[in-house]
Amino acid sequence: MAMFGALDAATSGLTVSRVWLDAISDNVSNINTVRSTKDQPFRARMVIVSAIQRGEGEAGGARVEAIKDRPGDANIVYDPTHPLADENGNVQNANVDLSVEMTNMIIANRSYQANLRMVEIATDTYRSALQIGKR
Amino acid sequence: MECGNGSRLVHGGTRVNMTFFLRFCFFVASVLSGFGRAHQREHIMRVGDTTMSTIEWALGAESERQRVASNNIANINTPGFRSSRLDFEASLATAMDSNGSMAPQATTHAANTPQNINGNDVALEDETMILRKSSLHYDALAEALSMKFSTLRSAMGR
Repeated sequence: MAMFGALDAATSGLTVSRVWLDAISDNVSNINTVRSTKDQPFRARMVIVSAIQRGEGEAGGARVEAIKDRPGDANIVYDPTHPLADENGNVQNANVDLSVEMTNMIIANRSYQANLRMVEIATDTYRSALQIGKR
Repeated sequence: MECGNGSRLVHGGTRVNMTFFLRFCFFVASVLSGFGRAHQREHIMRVGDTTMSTIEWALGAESERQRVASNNIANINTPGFRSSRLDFEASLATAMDSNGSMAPQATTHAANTPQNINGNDVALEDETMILRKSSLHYDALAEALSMKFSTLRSAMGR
């Protein structure tokens, strides 16, 4: 339905922001997740977003392409008293950077607000179009 | 050009032509407006025409669409719930093209949005946006219906 194109595009932005916030929340809640060095460490989830091609019947917008783990070296710490420690006394901390997550949280929150504002403005515009025939 | 004609009209000989021209203009205007009125009347006289029944049906379908969206939102925490959508635009267009030989139908189908971990696939943004769009559509239809009524009222001379 391309009649309310601005609304469709803004909705896709809302969905992307929500999925991003979900991922950030997941990352922050797992900041203290410790794993054995034999396993994979907990890696921060990153949301990969791509643009929707604007065209016939499509108003554009954004969509979540994939959710991927943050690459990088594992955060190995020496903690011999930990039950998961290996023979060298090492465990793996989560590969989550709290300052990055907090910054992203603000951006995702603002992005959600901006898209919501877009929805309000578009609705007002469409509603004022209904006033044309009134007398 | 107009100016040149005007200066010639001052002379008595051309004044007759001027009055004739004006009368001719009035005649043409009255014929045209009369034709317009007659043409309009043809449409107004059929009170229960397809416009009103179509709008009436579409209003009902829009409120059904809102019911479906509300049902989806109500089940946002139900594990395994799959949200559904209501479609009728294509069917309504076909029915209108068929000149009343076909009845429009509103059909529900699965939304097939990505599922959560508990199998639920209700996306709150999508549902609220459907409600918002539907409310805009409803307003537009109600406005169209009230315009139709006001046309009928002016045909009654009120």
